[in-house]
Amino acid sequence: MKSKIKLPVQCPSCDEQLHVSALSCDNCRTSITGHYELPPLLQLNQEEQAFVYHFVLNSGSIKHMSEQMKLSYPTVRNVLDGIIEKLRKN
Amino acid sequence: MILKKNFLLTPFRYIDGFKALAAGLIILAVSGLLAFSIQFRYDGFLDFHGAPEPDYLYLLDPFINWIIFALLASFTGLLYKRPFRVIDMLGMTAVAFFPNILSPPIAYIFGLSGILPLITDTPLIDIPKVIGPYMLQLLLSSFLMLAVTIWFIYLTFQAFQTNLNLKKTQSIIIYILLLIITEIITVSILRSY
Repeated sequence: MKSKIKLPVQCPSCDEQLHVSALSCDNCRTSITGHYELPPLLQLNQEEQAFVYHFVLNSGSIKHMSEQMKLSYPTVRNVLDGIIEKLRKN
Repeated sequence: MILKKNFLLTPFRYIDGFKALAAGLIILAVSGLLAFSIQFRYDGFLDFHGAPEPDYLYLLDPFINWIIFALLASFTGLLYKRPFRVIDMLGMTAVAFFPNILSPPIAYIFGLSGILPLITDTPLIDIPKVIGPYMLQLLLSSFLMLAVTIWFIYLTFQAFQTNLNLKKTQSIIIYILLLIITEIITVSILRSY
């Protein structure tokens, strides 16, 4: 989450979901190529991933999330509902 | 997810729970007092009319309008099995009555308590003559009242939608039905005393 380089999950050209086609080891320089699906959580956009990250850190408490985000409880719950719906579709 | 701060149109992104309920109850009490002080009353969910013979019971009008709307909205939530907190529903729907605070000052500034009896006491054919000198006042006040009503409807919709998070088209249709039912129930209760 502290990384400044964002992992793109959607094609900037046609908005389709991107796949992983190359992985490499920084230690031994081994490279793997293939066609791998991104895990469901990584298919969320950056803001949604950040929400899930903080939600887990807050022990899944919507109340704590709403205090942290300075948003009302139903607003936070609605954001969570949106993410749940997206994950179910993926 | 990018939420722009706009307290006038989307206050329910930021206020909830007991804070919203406390603020809402104050709003309802103030709007009732202001209307009472200029001999007007909220005799229906979307109504604001002159009450030349004020009764202390009229102070309850905003509370009755609110509780009926909040109960019907909560019932809708239960019907559609939406997970909502009753405290948020009560608080947010009460805060949504904020625009109603503006109606009494508008009526007072434009002298509506003096003009409206003239209209109601005049035969239909003579009304144009009677309202002639007050036309500008009536037009301006009607325009402002309309703006207040639209804002009120928008906020009650926001309170309803934020709590129940129904799909957009579905929520608009259900809200319109809710508005009509609330209006019918409140008018029949409030105009009976």
